[in-house]
Amino acid sequence: MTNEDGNPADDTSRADAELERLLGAELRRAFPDSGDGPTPGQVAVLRDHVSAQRRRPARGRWRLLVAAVALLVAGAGLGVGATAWTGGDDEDLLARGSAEFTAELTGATGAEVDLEGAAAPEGRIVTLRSDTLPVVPYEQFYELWFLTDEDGETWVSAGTFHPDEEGNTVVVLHAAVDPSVVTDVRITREPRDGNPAPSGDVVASGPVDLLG
Amino acid sequence: MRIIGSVDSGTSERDLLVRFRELDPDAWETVYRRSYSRLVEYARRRLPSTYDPHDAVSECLTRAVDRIGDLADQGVRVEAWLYGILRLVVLEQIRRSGRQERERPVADSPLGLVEATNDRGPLEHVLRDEQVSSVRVAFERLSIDDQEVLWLRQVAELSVAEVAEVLRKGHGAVRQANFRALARLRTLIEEVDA
Repeated sequence: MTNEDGNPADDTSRADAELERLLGAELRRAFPDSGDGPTPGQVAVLRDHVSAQRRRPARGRWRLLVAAVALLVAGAGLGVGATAWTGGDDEDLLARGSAEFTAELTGATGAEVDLEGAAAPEGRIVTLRSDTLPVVPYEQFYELWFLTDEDGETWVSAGTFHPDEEGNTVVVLHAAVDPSVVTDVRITREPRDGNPAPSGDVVASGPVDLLG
Repeated sequence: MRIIGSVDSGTSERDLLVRFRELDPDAWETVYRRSYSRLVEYARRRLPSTYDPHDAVSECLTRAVDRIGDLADQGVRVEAWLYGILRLVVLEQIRRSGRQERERPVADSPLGLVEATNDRGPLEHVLRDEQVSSVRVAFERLSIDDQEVLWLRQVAELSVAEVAEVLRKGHGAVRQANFRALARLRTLIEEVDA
């Protein structure tokens, strides 16, 4: 018997495979595919949109390219201010951002945190997920930092957060930072003492992995 | 999966991907029809209740058309790319609504009753319904992350590589997350049944 990679399966992976086979079947039984498809109207709208896009290949794509170049220029330094964006494509870009980097942070206490970063006109949209960050008392909170080596080590805060009562964390933060100059990402535990400087109590850290 | 229109049932996923990238309306319709219900359910499970999951899927497809130049051939089905876009649409709505998580009571589940097959007796129907209910209750108790990886891997039946594409994680990380979530689900099912 082999595992998904084609390697011989040991007892643990065989047990995992069996667990996946059984529970996977239970899940599909519990959540059956409704089989509902789109309405004829929805299909027609999609086909029209696809056909229209096919007929105008250059204009929209050039606008996105121009927007992307402008974004790179705007994001070349830290703390770049707002940029004027107009037009439908630009509004889309503003709304969603463009996937740009990921980071997997780990800590000595077993904390594991996943970050996803997207470039947007207002900076970087950072989605942070973890189910292993310890719940903190009201007097404390966590803060996400991007460290850069420009002008010496600089800590750029991306915002504060805390897990819910069950220890789950899913937050979306915004950071005025260029990930290409980031040397490390860290999460610190902070006291509610009004001091904006990092406490130094690092609970998780890791490097940025730029996409593409 | 259902294949429709002028796309032959023997059409390979690679051919479909090529035609999809070339904005062939038939290829888009094929993917749209075969993935629609699962995409809607994925969005429904994660979106704030004020947002229509059908609208989210429409938004996803609209963005996909506009961003077709971003679709690369990475050896995974087109659906993985669509789930990735839909995931961003959902996250944006969650962010806009100011809600980080959504809790949906099991009784409010949009999935409807599970129809038992006709080859079972009344007692087996009851037992099967109880088991299905236990799995649903246990699933709802999982974290959002566990639910997401299990939904994509087990319910939507994406491959490890495809889930990795959606979640933008490594294959190993997806495998670990999948098995950890399965183990937690098993524990929760046992608690629910106890």
